Amino acid sequence: MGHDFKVGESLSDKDLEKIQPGRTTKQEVLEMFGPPLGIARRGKVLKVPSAIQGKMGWEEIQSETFFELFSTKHTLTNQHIIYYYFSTEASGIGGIFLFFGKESTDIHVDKLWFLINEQTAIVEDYIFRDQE
Amino acid sequence: MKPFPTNYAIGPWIMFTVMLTASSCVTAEISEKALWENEFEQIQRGISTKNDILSLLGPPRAILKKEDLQNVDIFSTKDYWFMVQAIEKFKPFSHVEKFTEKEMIYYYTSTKVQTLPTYFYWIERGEKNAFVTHLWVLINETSGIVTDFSFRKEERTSRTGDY
Repeated sequence: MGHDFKVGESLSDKDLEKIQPGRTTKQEVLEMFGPPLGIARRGKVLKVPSAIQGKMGWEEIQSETFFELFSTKHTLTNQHIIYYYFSTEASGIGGIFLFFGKESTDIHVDKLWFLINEQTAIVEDYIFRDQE
Repeated sequence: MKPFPTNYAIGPWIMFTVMLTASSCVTAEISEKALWENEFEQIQRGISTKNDILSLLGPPRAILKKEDLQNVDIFSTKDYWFMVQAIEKFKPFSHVEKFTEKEMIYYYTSTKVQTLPTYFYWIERGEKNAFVTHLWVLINETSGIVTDFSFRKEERTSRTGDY
């Protein structure tokens, strides 16, 4: 017995090499990846859909936790925003045997953050993480 | 020898019994990003940096600075509420005075859910056991060095839909 679900397009399929920090624009990111799942602004709480444990729900995230990702390399100001993209795919392997059954779900999560200067509309940096 | 009773449709009953036995034992394990202990082993007090932690574990669920403790509004956020509850419950750092104005806490948490028993896989699930791992990393904001870290594991039981 198996089950699968998928939220969003797999981000690893996208050509991230095309992104050039300091040159790529916000508009180009929108054309390549579509609208972000969330836009983080300093001091704000971000509410984003999540698919934790195979169920859709909402997750509240302090924007500051995203800004931390860029804090060591950049001097962050209130003009910075972060575009947050996320995709998840789950595949379940299950079985019912005569006296024992076990089901497990592998969840693959891709997350992508773009640090954008709103004043210049330039992507200053990005971070991609894929988690199994 | 008595002939096998063929006047009853026993096939479905055998199948029913087998499936009931089997499905009552089914467990389902579902986990979000797990905090594995071998990841903790890579964290070294006084050596690891904030950047090492971010590279290893990604952005924390919440960040706590000492001045945040005076800010009541911040606790309306679920993650902050959980973090503060967890700090209160587990007291992860032995000396509270360690948490100074120059330090901040990165809080990570992950949950592994085990569902058991399942009466019928496709109808209803019973109780769930959730294994929650909490990780707090104390970081000196000025130097960016990890001064301490602590983790705790707890098991919670709930009915379907609580997690």
